[in-house]
Amino acid sequence: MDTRPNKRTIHTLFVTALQAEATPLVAHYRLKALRTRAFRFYQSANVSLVVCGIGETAAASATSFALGFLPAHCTAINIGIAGSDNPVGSLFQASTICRDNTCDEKTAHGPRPGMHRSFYPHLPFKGELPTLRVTTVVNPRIDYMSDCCFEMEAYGFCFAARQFLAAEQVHCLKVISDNPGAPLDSPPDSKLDNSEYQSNQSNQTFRFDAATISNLIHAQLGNIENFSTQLASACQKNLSTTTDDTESALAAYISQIENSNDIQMHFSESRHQQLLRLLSRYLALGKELPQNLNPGNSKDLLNLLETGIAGYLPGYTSKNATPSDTN
Amino acid sequence: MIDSVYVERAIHQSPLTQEILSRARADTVVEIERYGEVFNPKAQNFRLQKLNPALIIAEKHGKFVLPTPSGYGIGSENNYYFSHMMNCIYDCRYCFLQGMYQSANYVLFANYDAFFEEIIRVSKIHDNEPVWFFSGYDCDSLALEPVTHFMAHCLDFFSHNDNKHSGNKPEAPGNACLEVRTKSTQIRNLLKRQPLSNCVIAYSLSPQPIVESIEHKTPSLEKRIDAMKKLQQHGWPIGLRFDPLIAAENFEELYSDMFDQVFDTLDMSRVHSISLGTFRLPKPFFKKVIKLYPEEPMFAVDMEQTDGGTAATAKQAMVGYPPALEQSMMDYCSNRILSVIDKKRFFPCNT
Repeated sequence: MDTRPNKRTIHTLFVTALQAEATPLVAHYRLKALRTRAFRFYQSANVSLVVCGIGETAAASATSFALGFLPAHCTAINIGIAGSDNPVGSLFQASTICRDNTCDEKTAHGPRPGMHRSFYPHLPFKGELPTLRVTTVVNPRIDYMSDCCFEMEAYGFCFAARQFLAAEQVHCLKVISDNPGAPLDSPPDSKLDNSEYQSNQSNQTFRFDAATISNLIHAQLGNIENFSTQLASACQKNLSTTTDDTESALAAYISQIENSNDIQMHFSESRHQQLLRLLSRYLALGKELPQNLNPGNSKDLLNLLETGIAGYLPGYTSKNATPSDTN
Repeated sequence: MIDSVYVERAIHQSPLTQEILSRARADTVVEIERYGEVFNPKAQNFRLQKLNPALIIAEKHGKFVLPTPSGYGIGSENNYYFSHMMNCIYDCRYCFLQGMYQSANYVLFANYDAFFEEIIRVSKIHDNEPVWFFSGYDCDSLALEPVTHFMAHCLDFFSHNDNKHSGNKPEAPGNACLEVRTKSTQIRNLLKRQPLSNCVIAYSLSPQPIVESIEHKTPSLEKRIDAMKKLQQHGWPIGLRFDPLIAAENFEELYSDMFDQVFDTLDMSRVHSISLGTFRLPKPFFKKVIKLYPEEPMFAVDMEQTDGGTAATAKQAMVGYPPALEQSMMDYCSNRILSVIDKKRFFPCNT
C-alpha cells in the first residue's frame, strides 16, 4: 500500500497525546507506522497520526513536525481524553480553546508572548456534536465543571497548527474520561500506558489506564470519522487546488512548446507567476491555449499568451431559478 | 440558518443582545472578550468560512458614521455611510468585503442607539442642508433583518417628519435622509409601516444570468423587481442601483433585457434615483479575491489599474476594466436610463 500523502485529496492529520488514544484510530484507518526520529508517526494515503506525548509543548512540537511535511491541503484534528462534569464517554467538539491562567505561574518573566489568546474553531458546515470550552492545563485538575473540560494538549496543538493552516481546518475533539463520579486518580492500580504523570503542583501521581482510554476512543470512532470526513469534504470543495492543477498544465504546455521548437526557456519567479495567472485566466474563461506558438523566449511566450486572451469576455446565460429569501 | 453565535461579554446580558440571541436560535453561543479575537486573526479562509458563517454580536466603539468616498452620492454634497454589520449573508463574487476582511463571519454591532446619536451629531454639523446617510455599505441593509431588527429601529429613528412617535427615543434631525441599500426581499416590515419621504429603499440590480452566475444566494432579479413594485405601490421612494456593471460578451443583450423588465414593471416617474457604476476594486482586494476564486471567469478578463498610476499608495490603487470597455458599458446603460428618467435623478458613479 502506498502511504505517501495524496496531493489531490484533503489529508487528515490526527494528533493524540497517548498511544492508548492512537491505537483505535491506527487500527480503524489501517495506518502504517513510519520511522521518525522524534515521534510515533502513522500514515496512509489520506490520513496521518502523530503521538505527541503529554503537555502542550509536546503537542505543539509534534503538530509542527507533522504539518511540516504534509501537504497544505490538510485538516488537523486533536483527539484526546479530558475531564469534565459530563458523562464519561461523551464526545465534544471544542468551541473555545484557552489556557488555564495557572499555566503562567511558573514563568519568571510574565506571560509567554503570543500564548494568551484563545482559539475559536469554527466548522464550515453545521456540526452535529455538542460543543464545550476546552481549557489546557499544565497539571491535571479535578475541580470538574459542566461547561468546560480540562486537558493538557489542545492549546499547544492549536498554536502550532494555526501557523500552517486556516482556522477552519484545525479542530479538537475530546472524549470525557473522568468526572466527579469517576475522578482522574481512580483506579490507581490499572495497567499503565506511557502515561504515568506526576503533578508538579500536588506531587500526586495520576495514572491513565490504557485499555479504558482505548475503549473510550474506540466507542466514538464512528462520530470521529463522520466529523473528519465532513470536514475533509468541505475543504476538498473549497480549498482551491487550482494552483496545483495550473502548475501541472503549465509544465505540460511549456514542455510541448519547448519540444516542438527545440528551445529551452528560462523563467524567473516573477515571469513564472505571470504565466500561471495567464494560464488560470485561460482555464477560467474556458479558452483553449494557443497551439503551434513559436516564442523565442519566455517573455515572447508571455506576450503571445496575453495577446491570445486580450479582449476576451465570458458570456452569461440563464441556467435555472435562484433562491429567494422572500418572507 | 446561524448555528454559532459569538457574543462579547460586556453586552451579553443586555436586553437587545438577549432579543437578538432569542431570534438567532443558534445551537452554540460562545462568550468572547472582543470581536477581533474571532474576526481578525489572519489565518482564516474566507471561502471555507462562507459555507457556514457565525454571527458575532459586538459593541462598536467609535467611527459609527464615516464620509463616503468622493463621487459617491445621489445629489447631496453631504454624504455619509454607516454599517451596523460587517459582512453579508449573500455571496456575490465581485463583493469587496471578501477582499477587505479576513473573516466571512457576520459582525453585528448591537449598540444601535450609538449610531443614531452620531447621525444626530453629524446632521447638526450641516445645519439645514440635506445630509444623506447610506446603509448597506459593509453589509446588506435588510438581509439579516429578521434576526437584527436594526432597520426597524433605524426607520423609527428617521420617522421624524412623517410620523411623530412617542417616548424618549432619539429622533433624526429634519435634514437627515437615509438610503437603505439592499438585494433582499425581506420587506414585510416595510409594508407594515407608513413610508418615509426621507428614506429611499435602493435595490442593487443585475441581469438574471449574472445573478445566477455571480450573485450567489441572492434573490432573483424577478423577486427583487416584485419587491420594489410592492414597496413603490405602498408609497416608499425607490432607488435603482446598477452597480457593478459586469463585462460580458453578450453585455447589451443582458442589460437590455434587464432594463426592459425593470422599466416595464415600475412606475419610472416615481423612481427616486438611479445610479450606475462598473466593476472596480481596490488593487489589494482584487489580488486577494483572485487567489480565493482563481476559477471565476469575471476576474479572468482584462483588468487594469484605473487611476492611471496616480494613487498615492498601492493600497489606494483601483483595478477595473480598460477605459474603452468601461466607457462603452457606461454609455450604453446611460442612454437606456436617460430614455426613461431625467438627468436630475441619474447619478453615474465615478469613484
